[in-house]
Amino acid sequence: MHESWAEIIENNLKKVLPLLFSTFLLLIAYIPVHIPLSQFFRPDIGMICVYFWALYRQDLFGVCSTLVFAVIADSLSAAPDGLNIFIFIFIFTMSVTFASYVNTKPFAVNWAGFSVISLMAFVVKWLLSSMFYSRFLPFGGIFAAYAATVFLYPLIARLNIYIQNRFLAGEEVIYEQR
Amino acid sequence: MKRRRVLFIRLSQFRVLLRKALVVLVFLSALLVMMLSKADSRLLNKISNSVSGILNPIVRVLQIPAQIVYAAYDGVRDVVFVYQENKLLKQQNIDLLMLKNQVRTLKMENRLLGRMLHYTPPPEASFVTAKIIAEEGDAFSHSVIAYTRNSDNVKKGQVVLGSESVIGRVDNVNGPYVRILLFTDINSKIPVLVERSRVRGVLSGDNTMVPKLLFTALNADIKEGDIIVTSGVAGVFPVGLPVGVVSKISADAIEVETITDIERLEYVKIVDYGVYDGVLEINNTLEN
Repeated sequence: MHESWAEIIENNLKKVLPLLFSTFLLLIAYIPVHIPLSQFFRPDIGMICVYFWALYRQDLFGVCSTLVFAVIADSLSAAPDGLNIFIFIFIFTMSVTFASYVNTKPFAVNWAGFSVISLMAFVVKWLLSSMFYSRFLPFGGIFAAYAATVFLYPLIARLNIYIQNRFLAGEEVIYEQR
Repeated sequence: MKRRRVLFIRLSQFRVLLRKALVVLVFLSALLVMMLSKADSRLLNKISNSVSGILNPIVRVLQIPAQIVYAAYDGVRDVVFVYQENKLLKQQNIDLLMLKNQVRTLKMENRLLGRMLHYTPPPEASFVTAKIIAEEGDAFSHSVIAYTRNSDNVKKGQVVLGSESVIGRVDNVNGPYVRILLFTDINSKIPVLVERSRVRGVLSGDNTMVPKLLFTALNADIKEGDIIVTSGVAGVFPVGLPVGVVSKISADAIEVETITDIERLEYVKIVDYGVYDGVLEINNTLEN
């Protein structure tokens, strides 16, 4: 049976929907908020999206999607090019490794998993940036960004869960034990 | 019959291997890109500009609803504080009128002295106004993206002023979109001097809200509350532009607070003092 053009477009859109939605959230995060200390407590939305989609929909958000997403994040940021690529691939690898343990557990476990993986990611990011600038970045700001990211995880995860259940539920795959 | 050992790999195993190899390759490429970024690669800048050229218009559209909410919030706040602000503005107006008279006298005096010394004044500065459409501030970088219709005269390195003082410099121009590196960013180094005592130093950002004043003598005459202005050394910034106020002096560092609230930036002025063109020319000559 041949697929109609509409179906082909719809299927292809579904394949890139996690990437498109993550990019949308990333762009939202760049909107000026005019709130005191907003420069200090700025969450890393990209980390949340990569962790979430690599955990639940690795088939739609693979290495290539992570790479494209990281290049987008890098081009928007004034941080060194390649830094987000390294960090997002790091989170992707960690999420995929622990996906089978985490994705069947309650949300609190998922959140706890994110808090551990993002902590590692922030430390790696801090080390790489410090090496790049040949001086240690103040740790206070890193911790504030980490706390904001972990605090905001449930909200961003809920939005992603909505996208998953509303548009991609039929495409769900069962993860093999690795 | 003796069984022959056959070494084979299943397709699924091959895919897993390939994926692992791809991940390692991406890790290595990321490190390579970081090294190239340190060397300020033109190719990387081109790629980055192309991607941000697509994304910046989207950000500009996305920030419109947020802008409406802030405008409504500002409206309510203005109404609540109207009495207090009016009182403050009246006092400021009296001070400014006095200052205006002083400035007029000094201007006249300056013109007369200039004529006596055959002094040629520098060319007038020109500026364009730009609207902030995106801000990026975290522990890793501090920058904003501004939109301006008149970006023809905007060049990398030009000075950016907030409502009251210097906030940074132009880092990248991509069509009508300008990336501004704030002076709180770790990459920012501005030659400055203390307005009162004329002590020179370098204001260095460190991705916190309070940049540090470096390269000053231990016994330098610096007090809390001193105003920091640009020194004009290195030719990027003109002399005498206000940058910040000394907020804390400790054994380890001299902290400088920004005069303009960079968390509430809406519009900025990108100023062409014509100073940086000379520096660029020298750089190009040296490169050639």
